[in-house]
Amino acid sequence: MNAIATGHEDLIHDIAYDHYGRLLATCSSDQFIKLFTRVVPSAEWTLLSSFKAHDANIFSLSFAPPQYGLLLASCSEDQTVRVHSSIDNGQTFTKIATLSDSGGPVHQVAFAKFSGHGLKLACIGADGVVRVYHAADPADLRQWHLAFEKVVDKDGLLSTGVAARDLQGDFAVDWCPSGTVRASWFTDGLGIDMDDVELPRVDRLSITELAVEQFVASSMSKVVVFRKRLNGGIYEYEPTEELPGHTDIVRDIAWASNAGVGGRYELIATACKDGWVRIFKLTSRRMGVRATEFRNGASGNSEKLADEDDLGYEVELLDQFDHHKSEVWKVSWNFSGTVLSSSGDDGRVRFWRAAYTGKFVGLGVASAEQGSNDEMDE
Amino acid sequence: MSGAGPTSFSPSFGGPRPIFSKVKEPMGTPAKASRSTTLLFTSPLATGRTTTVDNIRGTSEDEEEVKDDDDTVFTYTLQDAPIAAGRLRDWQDRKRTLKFRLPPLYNNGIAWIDGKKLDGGDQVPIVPEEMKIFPTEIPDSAFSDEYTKFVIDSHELYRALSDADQIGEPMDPSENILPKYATTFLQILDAARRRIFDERLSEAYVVCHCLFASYFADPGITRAEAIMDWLNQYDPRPTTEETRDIMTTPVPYDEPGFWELVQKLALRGLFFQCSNCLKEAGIPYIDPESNRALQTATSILETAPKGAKAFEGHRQWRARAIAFGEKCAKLSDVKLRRGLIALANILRGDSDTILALSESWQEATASLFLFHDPAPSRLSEYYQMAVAEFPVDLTVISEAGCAAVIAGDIPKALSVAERLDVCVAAHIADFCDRQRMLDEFYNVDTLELPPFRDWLFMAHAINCCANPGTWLVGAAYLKDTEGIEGLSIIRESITHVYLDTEATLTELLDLCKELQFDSEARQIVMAWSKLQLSRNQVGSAIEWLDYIGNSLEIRAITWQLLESHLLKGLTLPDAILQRYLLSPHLCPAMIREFIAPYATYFAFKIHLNEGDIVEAAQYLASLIQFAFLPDRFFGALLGELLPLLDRSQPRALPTSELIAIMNSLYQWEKDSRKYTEGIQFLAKSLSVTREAADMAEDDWRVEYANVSAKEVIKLVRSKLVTEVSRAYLEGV
Repeated sequence: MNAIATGHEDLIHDIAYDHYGRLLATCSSDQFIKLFTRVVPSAEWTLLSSFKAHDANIFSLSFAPPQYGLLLASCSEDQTVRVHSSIDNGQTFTKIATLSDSGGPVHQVAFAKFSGHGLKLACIGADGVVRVYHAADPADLRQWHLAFEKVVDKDGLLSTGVAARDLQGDFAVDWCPSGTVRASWFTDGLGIDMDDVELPRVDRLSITELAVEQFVASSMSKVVVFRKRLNGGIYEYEPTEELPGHTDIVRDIAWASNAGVGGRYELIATACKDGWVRIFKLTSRRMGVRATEFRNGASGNSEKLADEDDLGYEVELLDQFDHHKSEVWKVSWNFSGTVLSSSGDDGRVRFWRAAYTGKFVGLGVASAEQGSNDEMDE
Repeated sequence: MSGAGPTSFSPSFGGPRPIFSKVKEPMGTPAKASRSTTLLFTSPLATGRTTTVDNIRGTSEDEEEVKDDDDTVFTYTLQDAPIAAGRLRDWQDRKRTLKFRLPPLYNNGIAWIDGKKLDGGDQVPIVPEEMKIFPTEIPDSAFSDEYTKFVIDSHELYRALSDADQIGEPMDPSENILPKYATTFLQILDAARRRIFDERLSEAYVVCHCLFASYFADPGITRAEAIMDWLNQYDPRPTTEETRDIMTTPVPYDEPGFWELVQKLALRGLFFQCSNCLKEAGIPYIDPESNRALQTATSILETAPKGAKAFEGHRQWRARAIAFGEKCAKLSDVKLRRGLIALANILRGDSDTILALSESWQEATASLFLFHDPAPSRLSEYYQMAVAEFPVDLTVISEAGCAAVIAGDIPKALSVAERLDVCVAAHIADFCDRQRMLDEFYNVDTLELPPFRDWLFMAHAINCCANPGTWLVGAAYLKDTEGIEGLSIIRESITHVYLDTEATLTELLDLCKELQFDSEARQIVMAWSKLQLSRNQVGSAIEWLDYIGNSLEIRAITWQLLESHLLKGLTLPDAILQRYLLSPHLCPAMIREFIAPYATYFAFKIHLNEGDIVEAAQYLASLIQFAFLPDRFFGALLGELLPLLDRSQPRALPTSELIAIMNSLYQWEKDSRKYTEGIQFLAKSLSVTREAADMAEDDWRVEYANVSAKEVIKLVRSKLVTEVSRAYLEGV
């Protein structure tokens, strides 16, 4: 497919797809957001609409899940997050909310894919603070309240320094996209074969289903997982795990769907200025406990699991790649968490796929440099 | 995915992709790989080489092993690639970087160029390429139309086989249905590769053909014959041209390559062709012994045992060949003697001769297997002898795959096939699984991993799910896999399937019901109702919300409708909603309850339009006094009262209603928040009138368009008082 001239008059900083991948939004320093629609079956993109959305560079975009209608959030150097709504399939957008709690440019915004009730949106800006907003009434998405804000540091300390104002990509946030299937918590570690468990297969999903609100945020070189936990009778997001080993600024983070591994563990990828793509494996420490309970005949009460038994994740560096040999700026996953893409200063998009053992191996390279076919890697 | 074909690559690529051996870029070696190698499958090779989990994933350090191309991958150039060849450094000096994001379900994402600095500092002028986006596909994942047909055909065959095959039941060889289905699959694959012209799919065909020949051959022929048949199709020798060049000469026997041709035909088990060559070669009469020897040679060739009788007759036939060779040694003519002895040596399975005359390990293995002893247990021995003489070219993936097949290393063969085409690999694995050929592969070390067959099907299904038109095929495969991964992937992807029609919606909801995906069903219905709303199909949206019991959303829609009509004037509802508004008894209970406020407003408007102002006023009065009316609507609804409080027409409201409305108005004005919200909305409503060019003449706002919202409320209050006094004066 040919390259598409977007009509932007400045650099493009981010793109976002709607839930179906049928709409594409782009944002730019020209302060405009443009909407493109995928032509079926040719799969080409055509411009649908364009609107001025901010008063400064727009850094990031995110579409809300479709059950909330066509809702697009954007964040900008103008220190705001704005929520735009369309009631005509993207032909026009109306700004329905402006969130302006950030003390600096807002670098990334992300709607939650799953949340307890209502709609949630996380953002992070140059102040290094991650914020979560909540629209409690799905029928009135004009009303958002700040539900959480915290400096991205596991210890709650602003130890990461102050970001340069003219640099981008120093902060990132991404929600866990999965409906968090935790069936393996019952069996992993004990070698229990699910086939020996006298339950219909579909029930194995439902009895262990557990919705946990969690996201990962990065500020400079610090990457921290936040999870909603019951603390003193109140549900709160708490920094729970840190993803270690980054020796420079983390440019992007992406939380994979756990579908491809049947919910046995979570995968989070990071793109780092130090030239490495890292894939972290987060395995629940709870699984051994749950397996014991299951063997002893416990019923699998998901509420109890969620509230009291959160023992956190065992964080492990599953794989890391330095094939870009330069700064890595973006990582993203496919829908099943089995293909990862990374891109960066080498002008290449690299694809990685999960092999049989769960480790990742190279799948292919797309080069933005002409005549790169069959070229040796640098 | 082989189906991607040339369409998935840039024009500069210029045609089908090269064979896998062309790969260059090293990738995939984990910097911190924990190389715990677990033995999973012992191959029948004499060397005792084994297939391990690491071999399957392709990180074996054994240089002798089939080199896994996970270490080297394709590079392709983006269409309209923005960086000039060799100018990467210049591009980097512009403080630019490449970004890319994958879409939620499909396999083609978008790449774009971004600056590393946001503003100022560098002052690098923007060039047009930096304002473009570049569609970029995940390598090997996009289906062309032709490949989609192959995927669907393969799936239909898989379904038919699943229906016919009793999985888990030991196969009675005489009732084994797998060869028949394997032949059909091979035909489907062959047709696809001919349509698609993709080298990797063709290579996958070679591996598949080799494996099916080795393990799923027609029971009417031996494995040795099947493998030789495979070789003769895969690498036909001698070629038609070679045969013609010699056999069309006046005296073929005099041609230097004659005996070479005869030996090659024999080596390839082409007995009748070989016999015909001898008969038609113009070999001159030398003496009776030579003549008899020639007759014996053609007789042996034409009576080579075949099929079911091959095992029984082979030993006897081979003895004839040995005896024939001994007789040939006594022939007087040197040329004939040498030629016939070599032929006899081939037919008796002499390994030195066969290895000397063969040109590849495949040919040597197949010939040794056919002539020496066709017992399957000997195959690995022949393979070892052959590869000692002709090493396997590991840079040709299909050759590596066939080597694994012949060596009996099925998991390795499957992993090689997977790199060529995961759809083909998955179906081969399915056949192997049904034949219990993978049982040894599943053991205690693979407990935490899905069965390899399932993993291949999941990989294929993920591709199916990411391509338009094959999501249901992918879901069907995933349902058939063990463990929860398959269901998890369906669950993850099902809400991403675009709801283009109600038929799609119904299909997805049926699947959700079957798999008890209640939460996903609700999400899908919610998304569909939002889509219906955006298409102005409000009635349909409400019906689907009723289906999932979402009263909150119905109520929200009700108020949105009221808001829209208060601002823009009444528009005719869609047919379904109109039916419910006009015939409430047809309305499901929940819908009736929650659309009541809007239905009341609708009834008010209908009666007003019909001139029945008393009836209209009662509907409006009840709505104004509705306890759960959102505060913002209060002012605008009061405004709607104005035409009803006109003294020039009969009084529309009884005193009690007038007083009740005045009381509501008083309460509303007392609460500053409620009052502000109501006034703001009323003001907005009036401004819409001022800006609208086509406002209905009977809209109350037309007369008051230039009056402020507060003045309107004052006017309503004043008219209400007047109406109360009028009622008093009229004594009612």
